[in-house]
Amino acid sequence: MGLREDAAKLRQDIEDEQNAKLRIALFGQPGSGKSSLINQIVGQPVARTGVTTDTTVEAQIIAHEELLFVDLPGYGTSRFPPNEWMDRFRPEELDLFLCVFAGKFHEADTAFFKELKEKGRTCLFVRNKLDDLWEDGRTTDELKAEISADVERQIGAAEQVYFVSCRTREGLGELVDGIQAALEPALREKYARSAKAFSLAHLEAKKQACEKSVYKHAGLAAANGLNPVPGVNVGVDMSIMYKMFAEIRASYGLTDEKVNKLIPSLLPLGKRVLDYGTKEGITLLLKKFAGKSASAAVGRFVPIVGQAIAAAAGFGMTLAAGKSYLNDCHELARQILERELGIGQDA
Amino acid sequence: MSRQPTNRPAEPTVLERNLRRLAAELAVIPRQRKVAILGQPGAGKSALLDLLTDKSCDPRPSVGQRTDATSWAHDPGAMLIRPCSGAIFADSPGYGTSAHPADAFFKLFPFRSFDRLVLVIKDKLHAADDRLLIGIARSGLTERTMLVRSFADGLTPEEKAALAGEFGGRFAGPVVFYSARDRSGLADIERFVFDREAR
Repeated sequence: MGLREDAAKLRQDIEDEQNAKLRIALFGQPGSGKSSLINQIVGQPVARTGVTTDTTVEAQIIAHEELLFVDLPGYGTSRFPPNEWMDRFRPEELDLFLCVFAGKFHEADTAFFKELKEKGRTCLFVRNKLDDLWEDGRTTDELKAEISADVERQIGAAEQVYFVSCRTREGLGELVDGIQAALEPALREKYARSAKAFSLAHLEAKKQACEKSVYKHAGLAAANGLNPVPGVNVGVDMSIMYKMFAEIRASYGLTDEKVNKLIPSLLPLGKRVLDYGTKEGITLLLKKFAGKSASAAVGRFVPIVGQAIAAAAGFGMTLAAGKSYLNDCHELARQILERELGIGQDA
Repeated sequence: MSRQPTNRPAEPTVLERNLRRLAAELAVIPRQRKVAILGQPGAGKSALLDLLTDKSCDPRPSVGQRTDATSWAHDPGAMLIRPCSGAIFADSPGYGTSAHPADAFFKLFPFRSFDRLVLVIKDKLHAADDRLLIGIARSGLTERTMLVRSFADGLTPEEKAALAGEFGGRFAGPVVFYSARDRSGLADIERFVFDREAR
């Protein structure tokens, strides 16, 4: 296969993977906090939330990185009678279901769950609003046990119940890991890249998933990169690199807003992540690696001597730059998470 | 109110029989204040009754995380009304569960036999709540009805304002934000239920 075919195939692979998003649907009674839960899972306010009825007026589809959340509207509200609602979507097109509840089970929940089970879909039970769970003279553990027993009684099978609070963030780490475990292996990487990491182990999984993506992009950038970057003697494709950097940064949830609000001790690293995320920054980074990985001589032969040599050098450089950027993002995210978990060094 | 004429069994269900019995039992109790507590499952009806009566009901209402903790659909002899604290209380089961479908419940519940209807709402207003509110307004029962938003201790003032606006648009009667945990709003509900002056 020639270079061009290789490039075309690589591009197709990357596009296919990005187009095939992981689809997670949330269903549950109005007010059970489905939208809030989506926001917690991705670590950013992507879904609208509110206390009044029908904030979610139609099946909200929220794309975040490679995740696609289908926030099924509050069925059972006057605007969405259950039957009409059920006709609107096809459960077989979704990868995972979360049954979100914040109180007792309603007829609609049980009926919907049974339908999903019949169609062989995976569904996790999430008892949201754990901070609301309170009864005079009883412990939280007693109440949790009672809820788990009730779920079993209502649906006729023992299912694990994830207890979470979007307010205190209790239990979210377990839920995110539980979702990961429930997915088909092929989908886990996507999820690791896109969901917010609540644990260092998840952050490590995120890094590995991102690294694979860096290799793919490096191949593509090199194969495409027949236009040398000014000051760098090797052909690399800037636009692909730019896109790769943006994806890495998004995987770690390092938005401009978040980085700019960092505590002073993390700010230098944060600034580097932001700076290298721009085209000018990438050029700077490449110049840094041009000396290390590619001999200056190679570039001068582009495209005369052979595209293959240039491509190999370009591959190495894109890969090195990509990994370096990934390391920075990972390091920053790790330090932020350690602080969130309260295991970091003092500020 | 929409009805589903299909799959209604010829034989009345336990729930239907109990609801008819409730009407009959109330009819023979003269001159006593009768209070119904209504709402979705898990809205906090039984916990509210327990607080309103200072835990003096015997037996105590069944508070719990279990769906259908209070059930009128299983035992044909279930206790439907309890006299305590000088009034007669109906601690109704949550409507909209598979054991207590809203349709059957609304159709047969003797709303008019009560002096006070306390509708407890947790989270968002559901279709069934909305239907009940519309039914109450149409039957001219608004004045004897209070809308109680439970679990209100978790709400911010902005959220309360948004909810008050929404409730006001759907219901013309009194609205109270209440929490069993911090007892906020309880005094207002007591006054409404017992017509008591502030203590």
